[in-house]
Order: sequence, then C-alpha cells, then structure tokens
Amino acid sequence: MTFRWLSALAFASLAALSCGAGNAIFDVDVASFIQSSSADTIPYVVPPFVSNFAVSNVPQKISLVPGAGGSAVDTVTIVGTTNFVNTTGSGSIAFQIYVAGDSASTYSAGAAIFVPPGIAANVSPNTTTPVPIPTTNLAATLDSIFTKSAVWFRMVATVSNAGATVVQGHAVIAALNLRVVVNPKLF
Amino acid sequence: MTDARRIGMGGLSLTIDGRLTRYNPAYGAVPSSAAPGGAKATIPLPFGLVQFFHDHPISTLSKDPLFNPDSAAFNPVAVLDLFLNPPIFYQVTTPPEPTNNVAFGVGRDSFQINLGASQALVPAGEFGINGSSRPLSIEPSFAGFKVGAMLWLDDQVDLQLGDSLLALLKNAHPAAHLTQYDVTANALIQGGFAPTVGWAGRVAGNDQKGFYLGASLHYYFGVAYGNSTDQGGFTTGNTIFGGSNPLTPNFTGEASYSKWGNSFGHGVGGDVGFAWVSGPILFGVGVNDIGATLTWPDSRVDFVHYDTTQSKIVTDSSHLNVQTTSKLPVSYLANVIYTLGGTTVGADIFSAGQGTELHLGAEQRFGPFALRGGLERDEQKILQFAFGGGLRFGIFSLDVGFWTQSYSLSGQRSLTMATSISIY
Repeated sequence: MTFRWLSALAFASLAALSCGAGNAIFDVDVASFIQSSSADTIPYVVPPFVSNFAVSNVPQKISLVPGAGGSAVDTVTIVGTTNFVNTTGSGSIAFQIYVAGDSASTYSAGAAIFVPPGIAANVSPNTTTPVPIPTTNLAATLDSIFTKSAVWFRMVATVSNAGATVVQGHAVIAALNLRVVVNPKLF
Repeated sequence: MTDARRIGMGGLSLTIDGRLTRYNPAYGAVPSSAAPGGAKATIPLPFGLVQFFHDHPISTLSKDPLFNPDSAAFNPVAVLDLFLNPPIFYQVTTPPEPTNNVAFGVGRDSFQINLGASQALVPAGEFGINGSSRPLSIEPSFAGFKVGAMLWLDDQVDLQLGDSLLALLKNAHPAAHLTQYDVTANALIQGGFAPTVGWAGRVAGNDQKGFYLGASLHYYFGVAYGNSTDQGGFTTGNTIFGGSNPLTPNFTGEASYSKWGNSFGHGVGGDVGFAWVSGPILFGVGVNDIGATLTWPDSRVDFVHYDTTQSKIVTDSSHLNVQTTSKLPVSYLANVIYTLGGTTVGADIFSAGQGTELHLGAEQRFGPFALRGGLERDEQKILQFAFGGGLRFGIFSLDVGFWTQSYSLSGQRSLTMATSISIY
C-alpha cells in the first residue's frame, strides 16, 4: 500500500476537531452580535417611587460552531462590562442576563441560564457608571445548549426609583465575551 | 513488507525476490546466481504485536482508552496513527500525537481556528491512501512460458484542501468575506481477478552476461468497483455570521459503482520488463498494468448536489445500467544490484502511480554476520534512514532491521524495528 499522507478518515477527524485528547475552546464575542442589531442598549424611564421596574432587549441569537453535539461541556464563562448611562433621577439598577437554547426560553427563568445573580449599582443624574460583569462560571448550572450551533441572550435591567424624580437613561453592553470549553467527542 | 533484511536497507531488494519479479517479468528468467543470497522463505517475528497487546490487553480492550471515545484519555490522532501503522513490528520511537487545545474565535464578523500544535496534522498538499496490489498470483511456468491467474486490488483515495480552507486550518488565518472554503475528494476502489499468459527468457548472452526480456498479458475481470468525485464546502457572505444563513453550503458529487453480482468489468493490460546481467552487475526495468482500462457494463451513476432552494442535498439516482470505465495505475520499477565478494550494493526507483520512491542500500557480509544500511526518499519526498544486521546459522538466518518512517498524521519520523527468520 502506498501512503502519501493521511486517509479520508483522518481528514474527517481533522475537519471536525484535530485536537487529540485536548479541549475545544470557543471564544465568542457576544457583544459584536448584539451591537450589530443595536440591541446592546436598553433604555429605561422609571416613574417616581416605583421599584423593580424591569426592561429588556429583544433576545439575540449568538452563533456558535456547529458539530459539538456529542461533546461534554467542561466550563462556560461569561465576562464583560455594562455601562449605566443615567440622565435624570437617582436610583439603583440591577442587571441580569438570560441565556437559553431558543428565543422563548430566555423569558423563562426556570429554563434559562441566569447570570449574573446580582450585579447592581446606584446611579445619579448625568453620570455614566461602568459595572463590570465578573467572570462567571456556569459549569454548575450549564446544560447542553452550549454544544448547539447557536444560543440566545436576553439582557434585563431592573430599576428601582425611591425618589420623586423620574429615573431615565439606558444600559449599554460595552463588552461581553463567552468562553465555552468542551471535551470533543468525535464518534 | 515483512522481511527485516529489506527493512534494514530502507525497502531495497538486493536479491531477486518477490518484489522484483512482481514488477519486472523479465526477472522470472534471470538465474538467482545473478544476485546471490536470496532466501527461499522469510517468516516475520511480529514483536510489535507483543508490545501492542502488552500495552493494550485483549481482556480489557473494550475499556481501553485507545478505543473508547468516552474515555477522557481517548485521542483520535492515536487511533488514526494505529490505522496507518499496524503494530506488526516494534515501535522504537512513536510519532507525536498532539493533545493540545483547539481554539475557535467567533464574532459576528470574524471566525478563526487555531489548531495550535495540531496544525502540523493538516496536510499542505494532496493526501490519501493509494495502493495497487496482487494479493494472490498462481502462474506456473514451462520453458519460460507461464499461464495462470491472479487476484488484483486497487484503491486510490485522495483529498485536497482548497487554498482558503488550508490557510484557515493550517495558518489560523481569519475567515474572509465572500470566500469559498472547500475540499476536493476522489476515491476509487476496485478489485477482481485476471487470467494471465506470459513469457520470460534470455534473448542474448549467457548466465554471466546476458539480456533478458519478459512480458505478461492480463485479461482483467472486475468483480466490483466504486468511484466517487466530490467537491464541497461553504462560501462566506458579506458578514461572516450575519443574517439567518451566514454560510452558503455547496456540494457536488458523482458516484459510480458496480456491485458484486453485477456484470463483471473487463479489460486488457500488460506488464513488460527487461534485465541485463553483466558479471557482478544486474540491472532491470519493469512496467506494470500498461493500458489497463476496465469497462464496467452494468454500473449505476448517482449525481449529488446541494440544492440552495431546498437547502438540502439532492441525489439523482436515475442513471442505471450505465457503462463506465476505470483505470489501473501504471507502476514501474528500475533497479541495479552490484555484488562483489561479500559486498552487495544497489539502488532502485519505484512508482505505483502516486509519487516516486528512491532507495539506496548496501549489505556487507562477514562470515555468518551481515551488516546492512540504506536510505529512502519516500513518496512524500522525505528522506528516511535504515540499518540492520543478521546472523546466519546453517540454512537459517535471524535478521533485524531498523527503519525510520513518516506514516503518521504528524508526518514526523518514527523508528521501527523489524525482525524475521529466513530459510535458505
């Protein structure tokens, strides 16, 4: 038998994931998907003395790399920064991200992966408050959605206004990066 | 190849063995005294199997990480290397099997793959497995004439990455807009049997100085064959992951085959060769399967393409009972052997239709001992090294040969040790 390189079988494996016993790491710039549809901005207008006024963007589809359906997810981390650009009033804003395998499920707290549990900041008039989204490892709560070809993100800002002035402004995603580490299974 | 003597010389034949007579019919008439030292039989000692089953006991084979994809230690590269390097002989050094992480960078308008050390596994050129063999040949000869039959097998599997896909995988280039990333694949597998008539004899001179000719005519019967030519991939859009359908798949393929039970394929081809003996020098050239084109009268041809309107692969299977043709690759071997006393040196050039091999080697005998060495430039144009030795006792000899080879996914050399017993 004449050997010239590797076989068709080799190519199939290479094309899928040629990482031997290593992991496949997917670094996804989530913000680039959200910013393109202007869904990175969540405006809010909260009347006086209203608590837990929730506003959100439209769920956004984030493409992943297909073909990892049989793989085992090792870790899932999300890190980023949100700016609270407040124009009037003073209050507090909590920020949350819902991640799910389809658009509708991002509205279901039971079905969605919910991060982070409690990022919040106090805001005052004409100030921009950057709030880092700390590295959050979803390994404990993850499910198989991260081995699919796409996931859906929905951001929610929950504003509380204890004062007599309308709290108005918008939350802007400045950066949001998703890292999914899977142990690929080719067969 | 199971003869440790040949392995110790990088695959070179310094006696008139089965390899020389296979590729040059004239050697059927050349007396063995023209290149003395040939064995009647050689029995390989497969220490590699001992090594393999020591490392991978049969009793636990089903749970062995090598074969168990569910194991954290499972490495598909190791499995493929095992397929490419059947563990018949002892592996002194094994080829590297990268276990690094692979990183995929994904953004709305960006996509990049960094295979890290595994980039070495991505072939820059055409790659595949190709072979043309005659696993069984019964051709008794009388006064130079021979009549018989042989079994023949031919497989040619080749893949070629397009330039864009190659840069994406091997050099971690970012994906570009409106660019096609594709791969071309060709596969041909066929087999059958061939009644053969031939003749080999000396046309001039004597045993010490003579000129020999040989020729064989084969009528090939093809029992089954399959042939496919495919090209597929995807084309990026204006934005890498923009829109609902960011990538446009494309695939076209043609597959023709004639199954076992269909009408046999048939064709005619031949082998020719000559050999020249002049004292200590033996020189010969042989060419095989000349004009071997088979006609398959009862084939089926399927045309496959990706239909962008239906977003699925569509197969046209309406072409039945079609006449198709296939070819056997022409192979050739030219060699020279020079014997003087206890020293034999030689060289050959060989091609089976897919790349050319060059071999250069020598054997020096000291009483019952033999020392051997050789060089090979293989089909990948990589230089390989070989050395070995033997001990003769009576009609037996025990031989050992070491040979570097690059039959791994990484393309890097590994060192194999072969052992065999020959009977003279």
